[in-house]
Amino acid sequence: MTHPADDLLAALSERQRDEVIAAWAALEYGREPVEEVGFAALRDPALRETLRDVLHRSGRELVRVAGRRWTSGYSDAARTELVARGWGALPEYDRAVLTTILVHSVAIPRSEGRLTDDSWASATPTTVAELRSHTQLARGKLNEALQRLRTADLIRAVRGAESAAYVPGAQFHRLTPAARRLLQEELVLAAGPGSPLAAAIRASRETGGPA
Amino acid sequence: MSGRSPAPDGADAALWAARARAEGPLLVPPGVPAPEGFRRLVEPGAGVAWWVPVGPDAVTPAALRDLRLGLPTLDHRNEASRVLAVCLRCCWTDLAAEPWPGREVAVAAVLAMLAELLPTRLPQTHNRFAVEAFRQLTDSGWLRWDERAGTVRLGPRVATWSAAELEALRELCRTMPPAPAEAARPDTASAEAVPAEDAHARVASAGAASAEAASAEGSR
Repeated sequence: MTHPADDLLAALSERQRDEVIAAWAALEYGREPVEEVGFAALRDPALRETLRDVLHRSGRELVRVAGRRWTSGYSDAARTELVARGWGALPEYDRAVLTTILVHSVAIPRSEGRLTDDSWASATPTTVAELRSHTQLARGKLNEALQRLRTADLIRAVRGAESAAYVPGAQFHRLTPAARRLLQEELVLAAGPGSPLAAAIRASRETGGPA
Repeated sequence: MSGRSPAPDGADAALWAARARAEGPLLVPPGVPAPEGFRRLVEPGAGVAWWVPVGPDAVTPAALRDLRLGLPTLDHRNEASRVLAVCLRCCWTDLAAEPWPGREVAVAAVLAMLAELLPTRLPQTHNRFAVEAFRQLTDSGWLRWDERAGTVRLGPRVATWSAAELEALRELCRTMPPAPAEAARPDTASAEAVPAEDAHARVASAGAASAEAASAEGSR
């Protein structure tokens, strides 16, 4: 059994190879971003480039999270191709529920200046009551969608509220800068299609430039 | 997990890997060779094959334990681990061989063993947790649950367990109640049940926990 990155790994010493594999496992299988200090293949710039190349071979990208933390996500090229081919898309219900959570927990707080960076971490939970009224899904369908989204770490349950409530999950750390920007634009287009910002995004896309 | 077949349309190994990251193991026609980074498993008698993604140097999510990183969590993780352990015990007939593909068993047999492990629990409670676990574990490729036929079998993801993980799971299976077909034999009928906590702790580390990691980004 071969791996598409075997030639890159073969060029390393045994110790370097172990370091790259350990970092690869932490990034690809781990739930949360990892600290650079814990992994030689993240600390050392040359090994980090090798790690980035190994990730590229399976359509993945090294993603820097705030500070010195790292994770991995779909490369922009792989993401574009997956979307174009309709591969790996979430079911429609799950998309509706996730979008509602993103609007409530991220887009609205950001428009009110309560969320300033471009991350998708949010301290504003969306309650199940809000989800039920906005998505108009039956309780059973909503619960199934929430379970799938939780299992995929796309959302995270927040405790302490009167009823169950959710914020975006750890997977949002995995977005590349370009993917974060695209998602941001899509939320503006969905939540405020008549806004000047939405008009600017549309105009920019027509001319093929960034917003 | 995908029910669609990939088309031979020039997608490269990187794109197939990205697709498998999103969808889990890919169901393909049996004659198509797998790209690099995949293990190909032919479903017996079904005329289809799986492409199961494999990490570089075959590293599995079990590495997270050595790295002291948090394992992914599932809803009702202990329940899912217990159900996977019981299905493994029922479907893995030859412990000397690899578990996949194993045999198909009736859901009733799985429920009967769950009742044996946790005799104080009501049958409807077993049923509710088992159905939820079947769904989760089927979505992530660890099981294949045929809801209409009332049967369950092992999913292609079990073929990714390393030799060390398999050895731990063999040991686990030996300590569990006998699988249904053996249960009629008097010499094995008195085998003691493993304490349930023990069962899920070991399977959780080897299997159910890695289900979620391997299917992370969860776009199934």
